[in-house]
Amino acid sequence: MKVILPLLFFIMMNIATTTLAKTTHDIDIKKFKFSPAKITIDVGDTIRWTNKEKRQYHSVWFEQLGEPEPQYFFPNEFYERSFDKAGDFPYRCGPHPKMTGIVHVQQAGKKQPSVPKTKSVIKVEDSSTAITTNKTSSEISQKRREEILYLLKHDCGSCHGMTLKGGLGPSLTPDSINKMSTEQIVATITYGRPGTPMPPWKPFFNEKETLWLAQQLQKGIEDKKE
Amino acid sequence: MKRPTLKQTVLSLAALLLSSLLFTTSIQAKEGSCNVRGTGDLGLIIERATGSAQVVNTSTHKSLFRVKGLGDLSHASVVYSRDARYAYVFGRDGGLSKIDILCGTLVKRIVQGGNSIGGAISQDGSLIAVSNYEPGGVKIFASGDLSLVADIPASKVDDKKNSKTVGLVDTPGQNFVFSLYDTGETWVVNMSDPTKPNITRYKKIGKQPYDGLVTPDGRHYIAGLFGEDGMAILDLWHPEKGMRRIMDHYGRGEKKLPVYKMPHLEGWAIAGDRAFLPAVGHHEVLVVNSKDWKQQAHIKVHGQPIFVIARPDGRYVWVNFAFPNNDTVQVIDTETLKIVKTLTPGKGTLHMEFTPRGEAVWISVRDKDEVQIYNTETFEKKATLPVTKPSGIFFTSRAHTTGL
Ligand code: HEC
Ligand SMILES: [Cu+2]
Repeated sequence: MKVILPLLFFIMMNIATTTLAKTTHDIDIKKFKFSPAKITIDVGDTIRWTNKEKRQYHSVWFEQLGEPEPQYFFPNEFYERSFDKAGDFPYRCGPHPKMTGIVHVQQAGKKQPSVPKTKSVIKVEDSSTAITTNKTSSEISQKRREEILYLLKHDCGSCHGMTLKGGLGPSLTPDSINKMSTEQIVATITYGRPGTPMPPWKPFFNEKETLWLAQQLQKGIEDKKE
Repeated sequence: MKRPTLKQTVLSLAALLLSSLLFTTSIQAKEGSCNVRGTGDLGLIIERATGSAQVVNTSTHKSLFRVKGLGDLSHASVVYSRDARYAYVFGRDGGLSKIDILCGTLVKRIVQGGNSIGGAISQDGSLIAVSNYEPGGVKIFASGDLSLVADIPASKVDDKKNSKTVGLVDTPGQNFVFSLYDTGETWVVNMSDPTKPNITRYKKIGKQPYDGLVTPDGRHYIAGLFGEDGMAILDLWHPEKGMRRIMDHYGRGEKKLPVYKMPHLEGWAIAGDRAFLPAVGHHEVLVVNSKDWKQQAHIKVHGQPIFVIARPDGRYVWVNFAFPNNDTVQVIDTETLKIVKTLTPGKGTLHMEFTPRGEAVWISVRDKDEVQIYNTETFEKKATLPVTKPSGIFFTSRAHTTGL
């Protein structure tokens, strides 16, 4: 689902854009900055982000749309995207969270203030579009997700191993826990296993977070060094 | 519309570049140039996330070397050769690494099991024993070249698995003692004749022993139990008497609290005839009379205790805690049994180690990427050392302590 829906979104936007007179705007990525970081475009326009670094890769991630992090692109590569809905679309670079930008999309011809006032709210006029997919992850902030993964590595890791390959507690790698359903994993994390050292984590995660964590375990956690 | 393609090779190259940038900090790696000095004031700090360790000087508070390539150190522990020149690091990935701390070099590394938890060095320094979760059992190696001397699989749990082994220590008489988590046993392995390990098994010692320790005189081995309130003790002067239970029902029927990290019984906090031990599932330090092993008191503390360790002179006991209280350290006066100091070094306060005669304690603070050094009289912070995700701290004074 997670892979298909954003694709669908792209295809839909593609169809929309071909029927409109469209302009392509350029944003350069250089020295860890998007420039311009704020841009106002008309509905139907396209933006092309070009990596002008010497050797650093980046990504353009519309995280708040709940999309998975897109692929990185390297010096002299570019990333394009069209916008067929009015609204404010903040984005960031995946590997460099401090690199942020915002795209303000206005109805063609309408005169609107060029810089949006609030940048964190996504104003999507038609809420039934594919933009609202992937609910669970869009409601957990990136910061919180990082916290949860850190806790997984270090605190779950104290029993399950930092690489989750097992310790006093069993291995939690996908091939080890795929014998359990998502619900069973969620229940184990939430309530623990009485009579064993597996403690209940309910005080530390809400339901959405537990579900998200269970899904991450099923998918497999990349062993990111930090 | 074009989407960028992922260039695997470039990505991994860039990642390599980035990671090497990230991990070269200000430590001067003087590989190959040996120091002409003793090792009595040296030690090793494990950097758990990067598979490395720093050799430190406890007199100058300086880092001398960083040794890399030690594998998964998420639960590493260290023992020293009796000349205190070599450190043996036991890693989570089953790795056993021998480090020359004078030269800051990795002398030898073997991967001896799937998942190990700790180890011990024999009384005479000739053997290194490693305790494994997977496959459950203990393996014994020659301390010189790390060649395998004995392989001792633990009791079977089912036809696929052996019990996990925990609480491995050395005891006088060239013995290794350890406990079996899944089957509730303690085994004593005599290695007087390395070709014929002689095993004595004590069964039904209690539910889920999670760790063990030996008293500094090497006489008593104690296994902590997770599955019930209480501990099991073996008098190694009278092994024929078998294991007996002490401190039964120390929880006094109180509801057990969840344990977010298993306590460690490494080391032995003893002061006069009192011993201090972590309770499991109760936010308490237990005080036991070390003559009759009867419980004397229980001290309410800040969280689930992890390490309960005595300053070498026994005047104070320092305690750190499990998640979510792992930002705190408390100090107990061993005479009044009162908490005299509460410090908050920071989140992820994982381990504490005293200098050989106890004027300072080194504390690893994972989330701050630092080791803090405190004066143990005034409780003042004297220095801070940058260390990447520090966990265990091990000073060479362990070389001459039974059980460490
Ligand atoms: C104090 C030790 C400890 C900690 C900390 C811990 N676990 Fe566990 N966990 C265990 C043990 C032991 C088991 C095996 C229980 C059993 O025997 O059924 C287990 C089992 C599990 C299982 C079921 C696996 C299976 O194959 O049956 C999952 C999932 C799990 N833990 C997730 C987590 C997560 C996520 C965290 C951190 C938020 C965590 N655990 C923290 C000890 C721990
Ligand atoms: Cu970037």
